[in-house]
Amino acid sequence: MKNFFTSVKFKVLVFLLVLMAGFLAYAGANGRWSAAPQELLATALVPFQRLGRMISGGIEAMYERTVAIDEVLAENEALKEELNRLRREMVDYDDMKAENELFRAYYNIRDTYSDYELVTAFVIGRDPLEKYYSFTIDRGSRDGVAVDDVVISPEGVVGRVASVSYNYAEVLTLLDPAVSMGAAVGRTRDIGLAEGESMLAQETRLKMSYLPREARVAAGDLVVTTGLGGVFPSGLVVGTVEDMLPESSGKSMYAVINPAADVRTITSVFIITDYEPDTVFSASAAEDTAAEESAGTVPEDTAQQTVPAGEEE
Amino acid sequence: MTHDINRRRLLVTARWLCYALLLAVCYMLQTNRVLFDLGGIRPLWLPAACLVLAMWEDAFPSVLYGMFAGLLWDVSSNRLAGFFAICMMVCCFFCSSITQLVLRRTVFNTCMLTLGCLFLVTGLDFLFSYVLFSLPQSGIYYVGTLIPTIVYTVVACVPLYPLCSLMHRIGRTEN
Repeated sequence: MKNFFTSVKFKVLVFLLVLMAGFLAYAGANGRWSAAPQELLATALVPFQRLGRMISGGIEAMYERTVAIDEVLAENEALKEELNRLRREMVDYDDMKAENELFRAYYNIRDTYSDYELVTAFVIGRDPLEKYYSFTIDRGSRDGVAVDDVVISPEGVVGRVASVSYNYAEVLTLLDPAVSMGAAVGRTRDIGLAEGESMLAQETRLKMSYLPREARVAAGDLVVTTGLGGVFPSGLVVGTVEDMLPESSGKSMYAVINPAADVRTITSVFIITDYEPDTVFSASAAEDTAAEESAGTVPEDTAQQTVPAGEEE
Repeated sequence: MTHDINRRRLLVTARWLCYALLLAVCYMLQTNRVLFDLGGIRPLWLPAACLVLAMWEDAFPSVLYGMFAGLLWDVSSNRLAGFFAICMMVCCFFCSSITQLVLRRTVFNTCMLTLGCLFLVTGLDFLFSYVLFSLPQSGIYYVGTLIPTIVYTVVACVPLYPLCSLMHRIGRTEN
């Protein structure tokens, strides 16, 4: 063993250790998580991750067909009952149509998506130690994906791209405190900042801060992005309000939001690689609120609902 | 004679390739959300594999494979490049040295060494990722997620032990 410490092999190991420390320092000093050897390894391992996803997909399907068949049948019955209930509610067609016309400008994902350039991607890796359910996707710079591109699912916002390599990218979910977006409650038009919060993330919830104390937000209200900040386009569904609680300062309120997209189990996503910026809630909300103010229907202190400067992403 | 030497070299190369393939498969298992999931807790296959490997091989190859496994782990997690690589290099060197000098190669010793090394590595990660940032309820995360992950990983060492033992015998002449 003593001879080992004087051998060439030991010197090579020390050199490699110093090299790793150098990569660590370089990555940290340049504000990046990854360095060249890491990216090369990851690029080479993407096929393995795809293979793993295929295998786990097959096992999951087999599990659902055999072991979880009772749950599947029960879910099927529950969905049938809900479908019948929804059909009964469709009887009042005229009222529903009018309400739908009003909501379409803010919530219609299909109309909004038609203006976006989308890239589909599969989730190919998740780390067991990851607290906020961040994941790796099988699209990278060769597919047009860039850092800060928004990641969505048919249900709503999933997160944003944190780092990109040639054929893979890392995505931070909206539960991560590093991800924040301008958001608005669709029904009341109260504007706030939706961001991840470590305590709420354990229950897969996020926080919408800076709501005024007089906000008339209620549980079940839909929350959408405003487009303020320039990263997240407007009109994307963030989630639904679960609870309204006062901030510790007592000066404002915050809402606990149940995200629309299930970031824990999601297996495929869309990345918005390009879109026409449009802040739905900036001009129209200000105009409508001003009109209501002059008619004396809105208290003055709710007229100015803006996200505090420096708090947007 | 030359034929035997060439055959032996081929087998030795095959052994190293088997180890590399084992680490690649462990990377695939570690990053897969569904396989071996128990209530949201999944084992850390990469450190388990390279620590078991280190108990069977000399210090030099152990540290190299530890570096490889650590870089793979860095890739799959949102950690700074090289963090887990450095941790695994040190842990693999320690495991390999102590096995050659003091410990016998048994499943129990493997599990204990893995337990100790994982507590050290995940403890450092917890310190730099959560404690230093004073994130609330970090203690609950440590007790509710990290410790079960460590225990599950130690259990995952058990099937890896005979696998590495088998690979270790490839290309070695019997005395």
